Amino acid sequence: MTKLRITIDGVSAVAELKDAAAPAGVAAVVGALPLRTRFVHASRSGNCAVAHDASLQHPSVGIEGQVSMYYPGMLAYDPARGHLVLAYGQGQARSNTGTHWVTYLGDVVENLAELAVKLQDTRDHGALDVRIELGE
Amino acid sequence: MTQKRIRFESGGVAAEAELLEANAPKATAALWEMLAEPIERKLISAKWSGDVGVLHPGAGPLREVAELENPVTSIYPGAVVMRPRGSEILIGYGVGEYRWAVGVDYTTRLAKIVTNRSEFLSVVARTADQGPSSVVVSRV
Amino acid sequence: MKRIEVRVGDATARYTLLEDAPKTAEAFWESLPIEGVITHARWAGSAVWVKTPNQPIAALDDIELPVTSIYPGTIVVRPNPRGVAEVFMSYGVAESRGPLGRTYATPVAELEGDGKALMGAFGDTWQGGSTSVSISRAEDRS
Repeated sequence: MTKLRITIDGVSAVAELKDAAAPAGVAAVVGALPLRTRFVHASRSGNCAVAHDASLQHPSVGIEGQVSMYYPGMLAYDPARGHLVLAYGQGQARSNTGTHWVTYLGDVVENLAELAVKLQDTRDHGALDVRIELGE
Repeated sequence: MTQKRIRFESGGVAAEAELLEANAPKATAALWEMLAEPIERKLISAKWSGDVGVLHPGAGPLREVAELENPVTSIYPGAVVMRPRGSEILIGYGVGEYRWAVGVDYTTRLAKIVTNRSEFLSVVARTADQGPSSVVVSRV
Repeated sequence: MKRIEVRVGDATARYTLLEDAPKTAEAFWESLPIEGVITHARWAGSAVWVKTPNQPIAALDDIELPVTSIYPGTIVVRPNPRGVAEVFMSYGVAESRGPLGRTYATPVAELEGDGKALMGAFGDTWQGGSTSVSISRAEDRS
């Protein structure tokens, strides 16, 4: 099972990816690693932070394991927009004109509580640097 | 730069609206082009969208504007909005929200009525209980 | 015509009080000045918001002119059952929304001019975090 290590502001967490349910999405994200980018709080999608990065943008990769709602610890991927979403609470994939669909890419399985605090911090204190790499 | 204005006249009452060119450059340019000659259309009451009057521009440059610009669903009093491809132009006079049979949808803001607002909006409101009237739209 | 001034750091802009929802607009006016912290919206899009306990706006519990869209450069007020008013100020495409979807608010003021500096300061809170805001009555120079 593919694992990611996600490190924000000194806090490190591990996510397990859905290799079987989202093979193209997992391959696209893994292909962009290691990735140093920024997590910005969502402005339309609720309790989550989003990495927008050109290296994650793969318009030809379709949505797999299609979901709209986010729950705490969920990792979602929008290949057309190049967005990687990490939720710390309830959220939903939304755009200017309503809701949309994303790939259910995985779940944080280690150290979610500390990571959630950092994700929430992006709302009140601004965007934070993040390092995403293959986990052990 | 002076903002372009258009004029609505219905039931003997006229009002001017400022085009929101920065908000919707493509749609307002198409509307301006369409109004090279004044158009006269039927002004009817909205069926789904609340306190809103509707006119159907018909064929012309608005047909080419397929995408929304800075989309909104609420139609404030005095706001003039349009659906993609100019299928409908709507004028808010109270509580308005663009809706269709299947639910809420979106529009592009074209203009804002800036003169003789309350009198003209009363004329638009009358379509709800007195039926359609005629409206002439022209450049100022 | 009543006007208000919004200040974030060195950026200021003037707004005209709207007259389509007179009860809410008057309550907003009577509640000024509002000093607080703006935070970027997490559901509403290109908007910032500040909560205020100031009266009488915090006591309003109805939505006089319900709108979902917060036109760019518009200030809307949304009642909150916890006895505060939520004041949203948009700088782009924005809607009154919550976890369950669209909600409604009453528009109370509209930006004069393009307010470029203030709109930029609002937008900066998205990646830069929360910051102080002052909303006050402005002299009527019309």
